[in-house]
Amino acid sequence: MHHAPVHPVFIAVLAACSGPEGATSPVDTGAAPDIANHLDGTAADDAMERNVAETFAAVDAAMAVGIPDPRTASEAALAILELGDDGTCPSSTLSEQGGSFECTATTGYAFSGFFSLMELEEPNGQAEVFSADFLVIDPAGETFHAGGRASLGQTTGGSWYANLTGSWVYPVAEGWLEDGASSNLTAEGTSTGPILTGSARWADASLNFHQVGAEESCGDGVSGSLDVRDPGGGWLGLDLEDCTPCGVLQDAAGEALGEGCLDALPDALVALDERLSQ
Amino acid sequence: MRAPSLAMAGLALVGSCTTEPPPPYGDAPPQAQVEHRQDLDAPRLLRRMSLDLRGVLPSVEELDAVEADPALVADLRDTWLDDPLLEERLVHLLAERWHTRTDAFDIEHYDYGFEDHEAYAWYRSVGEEPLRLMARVVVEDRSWTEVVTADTTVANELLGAHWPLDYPEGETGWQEVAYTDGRPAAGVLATNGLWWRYSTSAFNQNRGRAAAMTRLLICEDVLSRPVSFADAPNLLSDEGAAEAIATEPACVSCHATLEPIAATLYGFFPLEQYNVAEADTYHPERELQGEADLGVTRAWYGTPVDGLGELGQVIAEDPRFARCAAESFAAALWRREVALDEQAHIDALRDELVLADGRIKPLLRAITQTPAYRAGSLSDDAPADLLDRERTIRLLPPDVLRSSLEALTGFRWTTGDVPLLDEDSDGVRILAGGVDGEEVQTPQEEPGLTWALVGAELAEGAAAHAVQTELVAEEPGVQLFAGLTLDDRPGDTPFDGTLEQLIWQTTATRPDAQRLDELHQLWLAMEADAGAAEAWTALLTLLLRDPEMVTT
Repeated sequence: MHHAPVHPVFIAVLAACSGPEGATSPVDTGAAPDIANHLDGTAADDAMERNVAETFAAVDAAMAVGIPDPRTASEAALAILELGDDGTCPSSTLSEQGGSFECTATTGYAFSGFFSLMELEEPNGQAEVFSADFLVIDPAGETFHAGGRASLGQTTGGSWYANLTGSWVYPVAEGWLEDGASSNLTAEGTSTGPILTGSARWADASLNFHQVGAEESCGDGVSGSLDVRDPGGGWLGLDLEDCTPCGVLQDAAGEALGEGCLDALPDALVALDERLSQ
Repeated sequence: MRAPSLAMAGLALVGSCTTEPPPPYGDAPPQAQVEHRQDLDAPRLLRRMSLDLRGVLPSVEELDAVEADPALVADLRDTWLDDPLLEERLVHLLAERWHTRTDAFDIEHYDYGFEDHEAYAWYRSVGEEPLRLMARVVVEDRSWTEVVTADTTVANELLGAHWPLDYPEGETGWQEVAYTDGRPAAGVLATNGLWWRYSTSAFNQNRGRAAAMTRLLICEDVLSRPVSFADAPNLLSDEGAAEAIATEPACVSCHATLEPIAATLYGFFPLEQYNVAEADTYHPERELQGEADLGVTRAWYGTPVDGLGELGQVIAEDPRFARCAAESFAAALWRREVALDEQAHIDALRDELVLADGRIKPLLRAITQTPAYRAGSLSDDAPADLLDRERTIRLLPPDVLRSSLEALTGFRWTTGDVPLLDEDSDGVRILAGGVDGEEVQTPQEEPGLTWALVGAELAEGAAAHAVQTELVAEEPGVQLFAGLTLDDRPGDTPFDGTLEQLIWQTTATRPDAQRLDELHQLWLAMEADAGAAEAWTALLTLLLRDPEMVTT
């Protein structure tokens, strides 16, 4: 059972009753993340070292699966709409710009929802935007969930940019789509590769990217910073240092927890660049 | 003599609760109001408590017992606080305030592949999730703080099959389980059910949810504050409204509080409002987005928090949280809002809650001891404000009408799988005086035309069902007419005994000779016209729609 402990806070409330109604007393937030547990001495150091290593490994594992991207999302979505189509379902209610559907095809695919495919003026420039809110259940019973927008476009500066928002998953797909992703991630192309901004969760990693990628001054290296959510719900910071995928993991208070490297990050960025700059 | 402090008064209560402790008035009871109220007599008070705490009428034996010894009211009430029926009753009582038992959400039943006839079960499952967590906390005598700190929720097999929950496979019913999507431990604040009811949009950005939190958890309703927009810039455009929120004093006065709370809720912020995966799964990666989007630091009334989990802890420590629990449960059982001059009562009830380590049952016990709860009438010279606000006669809410008549007669008023008194698309919940949480947000306090019509239909259906089952088909039923046959007539012992017992059980009032004679005459007239079964149906219909039956 998962009962939360009974908190003696009501006693504190009683003690505070003499104060003016509505006033809140200062609170010790006790906000230390799990990774910075309160063990003492060597045990604490060992535990922290292990947790730091696990954190880097978890992020690396996500990178190895591939960074969520709008091309994978939209192509997979359009592919399954076409694959399951029996000539009338869902195509009879669709145009090239999309449409809504609620039908089961003779192919065994069941379709429900809508999508649209449009050229739009996005904040970064002109983009092809695939908007979707649908599910497709294939004959094996697996469900493709699409809920969000997948945008690919050209910036006013002449480079590409990509944005993936919402939730996307198809358990029989490959790469990040297999376990799915929840994303609000933007990638922008530069002469040396993509730069990532925004948040995404996939492969058990919840990450916020702050200009992470191949900044031109780094040459082939990487720069930027990430926020990484630990399993306990706290957020840890990682500034990539010296144009390497390495840095010091910090807790929310800025205290250093340990060093490590995201060895899979450079290759993940290269793969993303290859995929999105086509 | 110096009056004791509130805290001391609370301690005195704890020390003297072997039988019926004195009412927790605090040290300044509004004597005028106490003097102008007359308590219900013991059987009627017992009836009120039974319906409020269990949703069913007291048994004849229970009524007989308190008629003989009124002190037994307290004992029976304490027994009922441990009755399994309390949990279900609390769900409905809490729904009147939390408004989550709605008939529709942004995500529709068909989004999960449910057929239309399954919609009611699905929507109620969603809406009851937070209510059942709160009810479970109460019945298991856990601290009310767990309402905002628990790392669990309460879900049934429908939710377990479709949401990221560790609901045990193959089991059914409401069970305490945990989400598996990484959401923080924050009790009802981490439930889908709450945030599906209080949804948000790209522009609102959780502000409405934050306002709901302050209203529900600390009884601060920012929407009730008077705000002048006379000098505000153009509010019709998104840009104008955003600027006003940040700079216009009339707007800032609320939004300076709401935005930091709203920023803690971004794990529940959907990027596609009507998409299932966006709505039913927590998004931990968005937790930090709120501060950036709203331009504030996450906080609760100035106390910084590192996220929703810590927000729950901080709310639990806010003195207003316990006080709001006392006020809202008092209002629920008093069947009216708490008046400004009753704040001493609420303070005393709050102290009762605090001294009980946040357990709600002692609070409920204390509320049933207050004059406002026990009031059955007011004196002729009572002050106008008391006459205006006090509910000495209270309409039975639809859920109590339903459960009490079902227990009494075995009658279930449904269309398909939908109880008509619990739904508003096909049913009559609002017409019966209930709360749907959207269109109607407070229970009906005064009788009305539709309320009377629903009561008449319900009474007729229940009476016909009981008569047909037990007297015509001679099936056991619920033994409402045990010992009676259609051959019995007024003056026969089974007839007279049954009639007197029915009146006693349904109204907790002993009928006088004149009343019995009138009912005999009615039965005889109907029997002559349509037979004994129709006569009993008419008689029972009359009793079930009697004003003393449909009120407490």
